[in-house]
Amino acid sequence: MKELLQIKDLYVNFRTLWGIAKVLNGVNLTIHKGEVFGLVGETGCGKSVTALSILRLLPSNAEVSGKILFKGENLLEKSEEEMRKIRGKEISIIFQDPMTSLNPLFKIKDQMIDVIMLHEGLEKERAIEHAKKLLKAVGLPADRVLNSYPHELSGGMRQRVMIAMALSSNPSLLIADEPTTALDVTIQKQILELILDLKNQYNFSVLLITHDLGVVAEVCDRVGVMYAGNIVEIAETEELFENPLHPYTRGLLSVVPDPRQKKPLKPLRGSVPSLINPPSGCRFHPRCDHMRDICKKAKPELIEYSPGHFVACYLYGGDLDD
Amino acid sequence: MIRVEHLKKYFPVTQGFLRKKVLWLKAVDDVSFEIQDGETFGLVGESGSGKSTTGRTILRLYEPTGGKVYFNNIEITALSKEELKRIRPKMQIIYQDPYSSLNPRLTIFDIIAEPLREYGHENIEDRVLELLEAVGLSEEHAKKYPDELSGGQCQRVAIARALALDPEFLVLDEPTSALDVSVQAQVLNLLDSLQKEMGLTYLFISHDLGVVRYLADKVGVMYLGNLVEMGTLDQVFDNPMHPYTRMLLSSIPIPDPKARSLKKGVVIGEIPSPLNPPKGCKFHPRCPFYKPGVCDAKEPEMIEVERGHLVKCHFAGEL
Amino acid sequence: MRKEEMLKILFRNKLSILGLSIIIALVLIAILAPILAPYPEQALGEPNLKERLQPPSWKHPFGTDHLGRDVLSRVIYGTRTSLVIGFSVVALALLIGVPLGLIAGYFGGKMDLAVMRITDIFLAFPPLLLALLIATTLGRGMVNAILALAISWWPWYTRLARGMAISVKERPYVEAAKAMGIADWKIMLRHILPNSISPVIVQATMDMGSAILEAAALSFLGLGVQPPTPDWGLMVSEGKDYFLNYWWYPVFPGLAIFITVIAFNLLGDAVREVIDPRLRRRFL
Ligand SMILES: Nc1ncnc2c1ncn2[C@@H]1O[C@H](COP(=O)(O)OP(=O)(O)OP(=O)(O)O)[C@@H](O)[C@H]1O
Ligand SMILES: Nc1ncnc2c1ncn2[C@@H]1O[C@H](COP(=O)(O)OP(=O)(O)O)[C@@H](O)[C@H]1O
Ligand code: SF4
Ligand code: SF4
Ligand SMILES: [Mg+2]
Ligand SMILES: [Mg+2]
Repeated sequence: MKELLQIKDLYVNFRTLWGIAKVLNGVNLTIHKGEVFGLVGETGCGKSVTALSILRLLPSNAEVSGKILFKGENLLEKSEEEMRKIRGKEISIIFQDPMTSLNPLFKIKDQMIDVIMLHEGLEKERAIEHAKKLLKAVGLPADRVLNSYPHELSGGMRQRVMIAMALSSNPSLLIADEPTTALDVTIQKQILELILDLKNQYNFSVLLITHDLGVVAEVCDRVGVMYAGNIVEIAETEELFENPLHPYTRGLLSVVPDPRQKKPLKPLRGSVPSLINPPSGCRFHPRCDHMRDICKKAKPELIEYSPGHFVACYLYGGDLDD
Repeated sequence: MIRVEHLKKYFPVTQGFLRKKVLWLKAVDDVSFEIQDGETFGLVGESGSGKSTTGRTILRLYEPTGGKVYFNNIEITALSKEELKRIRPKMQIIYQDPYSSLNPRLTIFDIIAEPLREYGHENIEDRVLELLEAVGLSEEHAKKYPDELSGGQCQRVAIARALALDPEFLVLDEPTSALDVSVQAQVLNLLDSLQKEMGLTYLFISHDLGVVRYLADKVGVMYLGNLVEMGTLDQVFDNPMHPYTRMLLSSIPIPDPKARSLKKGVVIGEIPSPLNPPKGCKFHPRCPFYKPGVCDAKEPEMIEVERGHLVKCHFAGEL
Repeated sequence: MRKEEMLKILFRNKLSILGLSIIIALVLIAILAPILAPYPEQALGEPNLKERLQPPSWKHPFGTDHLGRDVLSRVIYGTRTSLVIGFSVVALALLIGVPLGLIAGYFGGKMDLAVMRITDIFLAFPPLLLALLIATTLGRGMVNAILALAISWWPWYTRLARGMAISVKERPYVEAAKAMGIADWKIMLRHILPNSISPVIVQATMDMGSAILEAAALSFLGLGVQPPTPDWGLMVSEGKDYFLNYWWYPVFPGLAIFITVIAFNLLGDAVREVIDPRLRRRFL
């Protein structure tokens, strides 16, 4: 398999009224061609910031360093002009709440055609044809939807429209930031199946962001677990569920409701810390049951514990004799 | 403790520029069930199926269009405004969005103290601290404002406020849908232990059967204003009989990549607008077992298939 | 909200600092007028016919008017009149408008319908025209001008407050309060009012400037403040006939009006940033 996207030592700081928020603290991950990569973690762990960094859509109070290699080229060195070509054409994104990305005042037709004409350089007639084809591909009644306003569609339908727009230029990477969090489980099921189908059909990679390991188990090939701005574990999905290494991953696994049986939920204590004054060393240490002295002192590196299975925790090696 | 009989709630829908009443939206249409003391009744269904409306009408936050609700054998639906106020402390509600259910201009202390002050309690300070502790928060949170807390903490505050007046019955309207799974687990555990300690009775509303499993003793499945299946937890989960219940069950993600549900396309279509629901069995356009001429001709009755297990489908028990 | 946060937000924006400084300066000028004005007795109307229509000089930096009075002193004293008018008009309009709006929005139904009909009638007139009609009926004078302006003004606040109340009363915390059996008036005071008032306060701050401008217009038309009270609008009105040869007479009071209106607008923007909880979460 070949790398499509490699994030290397990505740091993101935000200047805020209350100080500097160190939101990404050296993120490393790789997404291969044609795979669905899941990024999981609780709210505020930096999943969305990672996604926005890839597209260079962070607000102006952000300071970014590191490398984001897409097809071998560093996106952080691209000009704004070059990025505009990459966004939507090479890399598309869909968000949790499709309403925020659709303009309530315009019909779907106008919004889709604008995007298609912009990215594909098609004239209007052809763009409408293309839009219809895309809407059919996402399972919507094309003619009716084109003539609707966003509020006339259900949440699931709006998300389908967003997916259709994201696919309009055949991207090689689709970033889906919690695409089903606001939806009913039934609609979630449909949307996840749709993303998988389209992925197989159009052969793009997916970066699927979610806080629910149940969703990961259903659709992802590999998973990265994120905590307070760090990737703490990466593995193939089956491996991660069978052999979770990091205490945080184990914590996340023990809270997923299982429809097949009623096992007790054992939630982690506490919550994601403030990133303005993050805990020293391993940022997870205040919530960890295996914390030792070293954990407070230095950040554990992400190491390859077994082939393809990476973890950042002193329980699995690293500087133990400090 | 709670008995709901043929509850109906219709909303008038106005259209056109004269704003004439043209249609009735039947959000809840003839719903009956009972909740025993200390029990949790799980009410599930997709968005728009009428779960919240049911919950609110039971508390008379909406005036029912028809039917009766009994609370400890008092007919709530017949009470006057003053009588209702006297009984209000006993029945409380928790909402989905933790932030918007707390007044952003009040401190956590004032939010929890409000009901205590209204009913002239004494030692308000001690009581607020006691409540904060009961929901796993501490004194330091009392001075803060809601937007300084996380979603999970806000939900705990909402629970503390609901508990302030020693209620007996709580409507939990998707109390965890806006939360992370990890925070959801914390809140579910909290609700569970509070119920055991204080002997609370819950109406737990959710669109996710997987979550309902953790708290419910009995489950009702709702679709377009009707209950379509009702039974004990085991009856509904181990032997789901209504095609809609099965659809809900098979759409829950299974946290095991090896069991990756190969069954695709189990969810057909979307819930239609309750303004003009399908004829006959309202579920028929989405039902894999739909029989033309039967299902679209006549609305099925709710039949008791086994003791306490009711199903509203022409082919209940045969599928 | 913590005060330091509010201050931080306020001082982040240079324009809001400017607006705030001007307003503070104006208030100080108004308070210290007797000390600041070189000729207080002239400011209050005493003629000085020897020095009629003198151009700006060291002795009279803004020149003198047709009765020889020091324009600078009269502009300084005019600050008092303007601020009193601006503040009273807006305060009165708020006092009438906001409670009506909140009640209409919160209770809805017939109450709402009635209040809305009344505001409709008021709002059907162009604002200044209505104030003019009322002022004509009430008669000349500053108090009557204030009343006239406030009466033509409150429906805007009613509308604004009503709209806010309607959206706030749908919030779950209001329903939660009802579910706890909290009395309606307490819900209005504790939940509806504080969460509806922000846009009203912002609007009111900006309106102080507009109220001063409209009061000036009334004075200009002879319906507002009467001579010899020092008032910017009145000065512009009297000075307009001398504009071609003695420009300083109307120009300095005119400038004072202009700066004050702008300052209140800047301050309104600043207030919006400070009190809007959504903006509070925004980052630098
Ligand atoms: N105040 C109202 N006026 C008019 N229609 C309403 C009102 N409240 C609810 N409805 C309608 O009644 C139907 C049932 O709504 P309800 O909120 O009970 O659904 P729900 O099952 O709780 O869904 P969700 O999962 O979205 O919360 C919906 O079609 C809704 O639009
Ligand atoms: N523009 C910003 N300015 C300052 N902090 C921000 C900004 N955007 C996000 N953050 C902070 O970065 C952290 C990670 O946010 P996010 O990536 O949205 O989390 P997730 O998507 O994992 O829930 C949070 O603490 C959030 O408050
Ligand atoms: S490094 Fe230490 S604190 Fe961090 S997860 Fe591992 S054991 Fe826990
Ligand atoms: S009555 Fe018919 S359509 Fe309705 S659920 Fe049963 S089988 Fe399906
Ligand atoms: Mg996010
Ligand atoms: Mg609901």
